[in-house]
Amino acid sequence: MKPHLPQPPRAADALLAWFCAPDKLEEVQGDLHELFARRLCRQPRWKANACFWLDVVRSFRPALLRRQAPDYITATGPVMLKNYLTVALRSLRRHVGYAFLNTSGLAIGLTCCLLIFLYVQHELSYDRHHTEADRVYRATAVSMSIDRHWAATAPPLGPSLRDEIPEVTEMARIYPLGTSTIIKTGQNTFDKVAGVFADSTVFDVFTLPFVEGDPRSALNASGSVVITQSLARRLYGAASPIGESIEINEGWLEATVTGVIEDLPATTHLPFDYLVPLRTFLDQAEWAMRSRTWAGMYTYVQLRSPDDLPVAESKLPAFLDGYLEGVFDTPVAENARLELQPLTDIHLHSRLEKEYQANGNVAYVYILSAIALFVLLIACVNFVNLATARAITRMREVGVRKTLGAGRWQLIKQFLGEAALMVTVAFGLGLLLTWLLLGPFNHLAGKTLSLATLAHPTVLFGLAAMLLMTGLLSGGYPALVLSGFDPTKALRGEAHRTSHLGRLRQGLVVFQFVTSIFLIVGTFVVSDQLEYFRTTQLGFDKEQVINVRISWGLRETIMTDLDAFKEELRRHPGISQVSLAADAPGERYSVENIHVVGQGEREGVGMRIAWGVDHDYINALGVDLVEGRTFSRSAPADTNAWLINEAAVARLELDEPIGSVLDWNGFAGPVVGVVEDFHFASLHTEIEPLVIPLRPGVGNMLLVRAQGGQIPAVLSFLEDEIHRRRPAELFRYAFVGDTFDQLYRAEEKLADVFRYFAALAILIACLGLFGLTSFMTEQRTKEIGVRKVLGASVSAVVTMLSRDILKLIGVAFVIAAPLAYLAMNRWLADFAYRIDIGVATFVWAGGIVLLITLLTVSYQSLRAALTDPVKALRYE
Amino acid sequence: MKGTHLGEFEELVLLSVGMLYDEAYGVRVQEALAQEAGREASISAVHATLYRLEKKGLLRSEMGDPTPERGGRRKRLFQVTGAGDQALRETRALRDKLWGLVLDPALRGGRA
Repeated sequence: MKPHLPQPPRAADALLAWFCAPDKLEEVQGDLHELFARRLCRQPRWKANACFWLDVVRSFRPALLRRQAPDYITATGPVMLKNYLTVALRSLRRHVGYAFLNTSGLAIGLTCCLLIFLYVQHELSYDRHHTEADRVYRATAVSMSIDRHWAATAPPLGPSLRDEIPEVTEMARIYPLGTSTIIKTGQNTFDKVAGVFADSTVFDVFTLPFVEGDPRSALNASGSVVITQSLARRLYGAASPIGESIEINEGWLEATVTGVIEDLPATTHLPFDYLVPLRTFLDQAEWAMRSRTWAGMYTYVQLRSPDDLPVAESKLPAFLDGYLEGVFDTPVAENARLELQPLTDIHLHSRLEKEYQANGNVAYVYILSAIALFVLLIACVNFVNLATARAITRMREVGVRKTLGAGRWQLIKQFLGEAALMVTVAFGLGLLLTWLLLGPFNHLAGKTLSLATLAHPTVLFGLAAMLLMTGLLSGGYPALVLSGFDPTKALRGEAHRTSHLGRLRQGLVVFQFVTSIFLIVGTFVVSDQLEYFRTTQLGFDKEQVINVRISWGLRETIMTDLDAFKEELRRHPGISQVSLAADAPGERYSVENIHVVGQGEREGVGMRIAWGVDHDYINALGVDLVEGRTFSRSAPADTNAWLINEAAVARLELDEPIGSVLDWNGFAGPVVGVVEDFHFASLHTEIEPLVIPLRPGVGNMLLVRAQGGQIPAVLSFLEDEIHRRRPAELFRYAFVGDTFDQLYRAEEKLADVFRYFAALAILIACLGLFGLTSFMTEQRTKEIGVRKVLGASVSAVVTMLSRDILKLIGVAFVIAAPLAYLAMNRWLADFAYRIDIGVATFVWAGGIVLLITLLTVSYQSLRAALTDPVKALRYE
Repeated sequence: MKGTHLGEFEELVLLSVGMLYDEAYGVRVQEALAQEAGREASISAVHATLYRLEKKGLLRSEMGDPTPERGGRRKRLFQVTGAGDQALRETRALRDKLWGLVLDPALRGGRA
């Protein structure tokens, strides 16, 4: 053994090796080491080390540095470019399958990403089309006593705000007539038209460009109406509608068209088809202007400038003190608060009581963006993965090029160029696919997205950046690694022996499958939760109850003898119960302030109220009684009677519910019965306390309980009976079950999205895996041949080839399962009634991924294993 | 013409190589410069000069034997080429010629 000599600092040595020209390294390094050894005889170790460092640093001079360019002449310009292109096309042609897999994978990923981008862009652009959007706010009210935050406020609030707070320059109030009103022009009737009452200032606060008419006067007169262009086309075709008269809700309102506005963009939280002056409503309902607490209409205020918000907000408490003077016994600040909500925040961030329509959810925007990013990442990762795997097979080309004098930089450029070519083709394909799939996607998401959104400088810039990034990533790795190979080794095929997956590629495969497994688990959980929503017993017969809307005119007719009418309907064998009501499960029950007489608690409790209910409400729905009785025709005192649910008993802390007297703004009466808790609202929330006062004659819907199997007969019977009483009536009905299912539309969409993108993620991952295994097996052809000659069975070879991949799937599963569990549990936490994520979900997800992977891998490995070993050994 | 002109340090290095004969490699050249000419040059300066002279064709080199203190690395041994020899001689001849032309008193700071 040689004596161990002290060695100079290794880092310095490595540094020298890095920058020193390879042909000079040996002697230079040798000299430095010799010097070091000599110094060591005279000097302490640290000093010798320091001197060595100094020598290394000083050696950093041009004479010793790596050669930047060889001295010989290199071909550049068109000649080489042509050669690169030829070689690129040749290698593409030789591996058509690979090229197809790789480009289509990236194209699909890009398509996903673009579609989601369009969707997210759409969600984020709500209400931004209003030119003054940044200084328009919606006033919302919090009532502390009943713990509600209202989107709507009382009619006098708007004018008071404008008059008393100088920062508020303008206001407009919107009062919805309903999203499904009926419009009549002459002989034609149109259903499902959404209308609102609005102040004439609505055109100042919002941007609603006029096509015809004058915005300053259009809504001034009481009998006027402004309609959108598409409604105008629906009602009158190409003719000008100005001056025409229309009838709204069957004789309830007559109005003359005074203006036509452009259609509202899809990105508005406040969609409507026509506007009628708010004055029309206020003139009829004097009480409305006196109410300070009725959460009836939406109040939008315009501030002088967005910077005025803090000032305006600071003045709100004092304003409210004056505005609500005398309403409460305790200080106003303990009972109510006003807030200003930015117009552009409403769609994604506002989920208040009494919204105009169900708003979007910013969480879904985040989830989708994350999915889009992941799918694109998977696709890029794939691209990089396949490109590197394949690049190895071009080692020899690199060797030849280097021998013939190609510089490293030239090789890098060549590989990057090829990657850029592929990426560009993939992007083209992706755009084409996006264009093709936009229609189905719009249908799925319930949106009207258009590719035109992409034609925006920032978007185009982002796309270009994405293109560049993918190109750099996919071409960069092979470019840097391959160009660095020693040509002699490359030619001898020594570096060829990377038949196993490299660390990096292993990581990439794991990453892909983590994402896939995550998405599959997500799909299962969301679907299961939806299924749970659909199948949970609601406490009443949702499938059998038909909800028939009746007009004001029809109600007048049947109210002459309601009981006789109901009796006549019940005579049909398919109908067991009929009730006239104003509120049905699945729709919004309003919250009112109820207090128990004699309990001393003055401010009462906010409770849901089922309004306009007649004697048979509970029976028609099939809700069970727990205590007492339902409303009875034989007890005249029942005119003011109440039914309450179990939650209300608990909320009001009633020991003896039957006989307690409830009071709602002077409408007082005894509780006659307690009904079982039933889900009158979606399963997102707990069952709330509900009170049901008897109030027949104000309902606008008939709840008809039908026998299963007779539904078609019942429907045609109902239509006949209604038309017999009022021929002009439009027969409009819905199943309560359907109304309920509508409440889960957001979750349904999410489930769809998860399903499609999980499928895509798996598809892309498999494309990648397929390509990867085919290269792996190709490189091990000889090994497989030798193994077979030595007696390996087919199954042994298949196992050998699949084992690596299966291990990676295992790792991916271990990473993805807890992640998915945590994320999906967070999602579920939003629901009051929810499923537990079971082990089965994970077993299924893992099983599916495993199966798909095995199918993908086994095709290649079986083919390799079944090949005649003679052929395999002759290869090369 | 490029390569014919010798710098002062180049001349010293060239001479040292000639002096060391078949033992002329980086460390020894540096040593010789220090001992015989009193010039403390860094090893990298010596390397740079050696390579420059080789590029000018005044030196040629071949790889020598490895030694343990060099970590088993070989030395690059330099030899003066014919051109190198000629350059040295030309430089010396030029000096001699100029010395012959110098008047003695001029060097002592006075005028004759």
